[in-house]
Amino acid sequence: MKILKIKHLFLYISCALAFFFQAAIAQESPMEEDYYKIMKVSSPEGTLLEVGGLAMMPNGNLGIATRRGEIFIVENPTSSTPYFRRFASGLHEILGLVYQDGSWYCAQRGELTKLTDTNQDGVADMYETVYSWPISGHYHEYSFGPKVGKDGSFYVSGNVAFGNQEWWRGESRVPYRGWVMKISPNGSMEPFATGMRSPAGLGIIDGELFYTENQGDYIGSGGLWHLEKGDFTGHPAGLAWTGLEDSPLKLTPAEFDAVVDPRKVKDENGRYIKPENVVDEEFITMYMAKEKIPQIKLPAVWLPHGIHGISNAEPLQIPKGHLGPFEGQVLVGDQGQSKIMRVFLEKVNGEYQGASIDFRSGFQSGVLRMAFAPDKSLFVGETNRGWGSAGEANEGLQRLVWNNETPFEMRTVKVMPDGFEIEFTKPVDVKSAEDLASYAIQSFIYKYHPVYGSPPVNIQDNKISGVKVSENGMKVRLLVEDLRQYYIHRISLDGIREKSQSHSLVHSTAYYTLNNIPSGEKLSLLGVSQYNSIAEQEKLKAEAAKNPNANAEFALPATAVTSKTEDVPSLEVINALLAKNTCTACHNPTKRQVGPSYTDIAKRKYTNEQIVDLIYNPKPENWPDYATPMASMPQVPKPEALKIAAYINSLK
Amino acid sequence: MIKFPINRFALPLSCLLLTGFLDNPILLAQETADLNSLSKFKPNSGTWHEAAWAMADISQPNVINFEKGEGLIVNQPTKKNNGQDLVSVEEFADIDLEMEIMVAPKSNSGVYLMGQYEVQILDSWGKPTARAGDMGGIYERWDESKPDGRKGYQGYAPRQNVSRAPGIWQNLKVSFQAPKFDESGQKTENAKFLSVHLNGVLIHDNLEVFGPTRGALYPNDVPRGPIRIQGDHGAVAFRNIKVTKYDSPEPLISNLKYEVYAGAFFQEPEFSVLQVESKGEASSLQEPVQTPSGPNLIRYSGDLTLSESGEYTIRMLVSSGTGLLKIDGKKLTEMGEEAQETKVTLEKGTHPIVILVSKTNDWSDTGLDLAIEGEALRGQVILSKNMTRLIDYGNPILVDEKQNPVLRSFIDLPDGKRLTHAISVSSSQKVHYSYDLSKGNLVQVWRGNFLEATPMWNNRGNGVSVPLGAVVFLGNPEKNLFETEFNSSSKFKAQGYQIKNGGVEFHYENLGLKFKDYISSREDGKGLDRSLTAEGSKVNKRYSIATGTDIRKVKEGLFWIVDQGYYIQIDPKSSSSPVIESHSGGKQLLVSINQPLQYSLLF
Repeated sequence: MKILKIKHLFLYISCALAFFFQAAIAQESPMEEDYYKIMKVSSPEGTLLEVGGLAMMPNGNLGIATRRGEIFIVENPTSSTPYFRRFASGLHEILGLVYQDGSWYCAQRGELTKLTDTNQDGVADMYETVYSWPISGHYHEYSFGPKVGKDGSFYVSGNVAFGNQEWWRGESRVPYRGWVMKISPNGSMEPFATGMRSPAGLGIIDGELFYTENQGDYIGSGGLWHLEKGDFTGHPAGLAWTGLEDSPLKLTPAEFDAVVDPRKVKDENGRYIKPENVVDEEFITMYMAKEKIPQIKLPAVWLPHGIHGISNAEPLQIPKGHLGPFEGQVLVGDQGQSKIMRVFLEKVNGEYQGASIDFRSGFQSGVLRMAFAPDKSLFVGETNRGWGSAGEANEGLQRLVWNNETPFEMRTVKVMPDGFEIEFTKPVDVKSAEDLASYAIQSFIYKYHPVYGSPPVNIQDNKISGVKVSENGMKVRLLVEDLRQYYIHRISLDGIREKSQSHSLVHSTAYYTLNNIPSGEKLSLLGVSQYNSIAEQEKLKAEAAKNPNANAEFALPATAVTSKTEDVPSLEVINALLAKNTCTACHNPTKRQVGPSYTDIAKRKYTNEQIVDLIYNPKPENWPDYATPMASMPQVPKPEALKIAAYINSLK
Repeated sequence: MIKFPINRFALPLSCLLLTGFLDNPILLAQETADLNSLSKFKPNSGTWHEAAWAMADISQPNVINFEKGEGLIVNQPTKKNNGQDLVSVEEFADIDLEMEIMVAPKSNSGVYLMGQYEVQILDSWGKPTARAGDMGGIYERWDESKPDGRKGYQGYAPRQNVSRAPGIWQNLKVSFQAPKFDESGQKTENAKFLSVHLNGVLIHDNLEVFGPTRGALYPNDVPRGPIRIQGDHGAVAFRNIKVTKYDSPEPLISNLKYEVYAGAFFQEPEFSVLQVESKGEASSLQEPVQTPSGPNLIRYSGDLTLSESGEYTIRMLVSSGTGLLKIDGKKLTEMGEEAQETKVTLEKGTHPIVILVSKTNDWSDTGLDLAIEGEALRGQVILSKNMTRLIDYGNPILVDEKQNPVLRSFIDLPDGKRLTHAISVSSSQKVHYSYDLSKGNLVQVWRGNFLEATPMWNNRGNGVSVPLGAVVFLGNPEKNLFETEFNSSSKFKAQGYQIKNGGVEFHYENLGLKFKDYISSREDGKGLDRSLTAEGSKVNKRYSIATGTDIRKVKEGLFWIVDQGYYIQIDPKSSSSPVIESHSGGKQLLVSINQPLQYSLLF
């Protein structure tokens, strides 16, 4: 009898637990970490892996190049006992690595070097200069690469220096800084394209050369560019050398300045004034400048600053058979946010464009380089070298392993003549997908000016007039009014649910750069849903208001009606605001990241109004211990800024 | 990843100020004495001579050849006359001493501060490490009562052996503080080597010596004493011996009282209407004062005593807010900024002083930095140092030559230019060099520790690594290849290097010729061996292996590059046939490269 009772009790508890877990699963959708695990790669104690380059050898060994000028060859790198062999040392801040025909190639600050172990003792002894380029000796003159093109040439990119007095202005002091150089294996160099400011990430996608750029002067936000010979991608410093005989483009700095005002203005003491963003000004964007300067190459995909990175690094195409539904797409690392984005590219009117979506965050340091292992896991090489990163470590090598379960994600976002087509990785719940309230689209662009970065401007909501769900539930076709050419379209699918378990998307927002709108047949309205649950509710609410005696059942609960702005909003609301306004790119509630923690800011006892003012006009001098000054954030709406301020002050 | 130019705020004003403020005092001379003639010393036994020129041969022990004249003093003992110490007539206490020294091969000497504390002078050429008895060591003390082998004690080895070859002029700079005594003659403070630099490298820093070293003039510490140069151990020469004396007492703040007020004060308040939170007396500005939490102001008043009249610069820093300074009732600074600086002429004697320390925020540190500088003072005298101000010094990153036997980096040269394509190469003999890969030049050599890479590897870094030893700058000429019949416009082309046989072979093309330039460190630690091969050289082409204002032939096959301080040794029978030729601004040593060239660089 007694035993029975216990059994009953046990049964009862397990039932309750099962119920509880089911409920919990139903409530909370799976997240990144439920599909992609970040694993450690063990290395000898004291090994500093400030990774500048990663490359796989045909035998599955991993080559690692570091800032400290070392190249390690790691044997059995995916095993529990990797062996680190120090293959080379003494190189100048390596930022790229390639293995080819028994030799290693890497860009040092001043040259492309080929390293060979001629006496087969496991250590390089021959350090051959493939091509040496001039540098002035400025700290910022990093050189990245190489990447190997279709024809076997090496591509190398070079950062600009900065001015002495105009320390904010990128400048090219010696030939082909701010350029991508194409170098043949026999050591001849061809200047390939310019407009680079801080081209940390070169990559070969579908055999074509791409690179990522970081936000900075003239560069409103980071992005991914497709590079062809003679392209000019936006930063004017490298134009200093278009007069040289071998330059593939002839655009002069003066021609450029005539279109984009360099704002070289001096104060009464004859010193240059740093250009700052002017809130209410007439401005031009990069696409507008392109009308006058056709050499300008627009980014295939803008990676909106603060959302999809703050310092974009290497793009890497996902090989066939890797990462399930995402094969052939592109991963882009980010140093500052210590995460990886996924980029979908398509060719429209002959040009690359596409969308970026978050993929996996939470790496221990800034993500700079990536390489797939033979077991299809992804090595992630990390460093933050004084710029700060969301991951608190200064360096590291980690490995990202997929558990082979398909996450519920947007697989692709494609532009249509009248909207977008989104393909999912799993069938969607048709009811949620046919509801226009599940979607929101907003478009914006950046200024093109010598100021450091740009706030998003010309922000506008795009009306979605209809949606058609494919029969198998794998695709939706959105009809969008007023698609804006050249603009970044923020496509949010917060209301979409997965068919079998009602999960929401792991990442519900994609940013599509719409440089080209295809021509072609528009969607017939047959089978198009125009149902909008929110609109219906509003209608009911309006009717209820007209007729106070109507059935009380129709009265809607008073949700989300915020009262006084002084009140601290709920954490959920706040987290959404912080993410939306990109605060989370640099700040954490309790930990120091790129910027101080909210708790530390709260200690300063500013009033809410003062915090709002500091959001609009930051004072980096108040925080001398932080390397990266905060950018002014005039685009944060004041009511939201006040809520953020109230939240910060609640942490006192 | 590469995001933003080095920003203005990365180095806060306070840090900038404080590095040029408390850590690197600018020494302003007070009174100096030159000791470059024997008349400044007591009579000696006749081995000391005045000379105009001196030279030694590295293969001739204990000999310095000299021409009589003025400017330098030379000790040349003979078989009959062992020599005797040279003792200055004038006696000193706190001084800076700077001198240039030429040691004969295998010779031994020393310079005793106050006749009591010896900095060793020795031919320590080629030693990978240095002991207390080597060049630059603070010589041991001696206790006769101890058993053999333990009689010597408390010697201090230099941090590294940065000495040079015999016959090369070496620079020694000593900043010395004499022991202090009270009125009863009791010692209150030991003597101190504030710093010792040999050949430009700091080898002792803030080193206290507990008593006289072996062979001192007097058994115990004394308040004043002469400069004494050892003369009974071997041949040695000196020039440019300069003593700077610091005899006046340092400025002092006394009778210090304080009052504390609560509140944030951005300007000087009317104190009479304010309520004093607390008050009291302090023995110094350094002494902690209890303050209410939150913004507050401390008002100090006291006496500033100066022993010399003159112009003074006073700098103060209140990093938690702002401050104000009044002397003789006169306001010298305005409140507002964190950092304040004023220049004021003050008579010697006692002046009333008022210092306001206003903490206007409550998140940063508390405390005051205050320093005074003037012609009569030895650098900046620190009256108060904020102990709580957070400065992230970071850990220095020293390059381990076993890990990184070679290292590429930017190198800042002594001539102010930055090498962008440099490589530095180490050796276990502690002889290292930097090479300009974009010109094929051996640019500098040094003995001692290898490199510090903090500037390159800390934070964002600037790409520069810095030699840790005493650098001999060889020059970095644009042109090192000379010929008469050769016409080619092809440029210099770097081709890299190969590490082999314990050395490095550099490859490059210059004027169409393929060069192989092999450099290795000598086993005896005395310098480098170099062999240079130019493939395809058939016509009369010559290569410059040394440039300098003056180059002297010591003997067949040995050339002294005088001011740079090194030798070129080349087999006298080789076909390279070295010739010293004049060129604009100096001389150069030209050799033929029609045959492979081999020579040694000794320093």
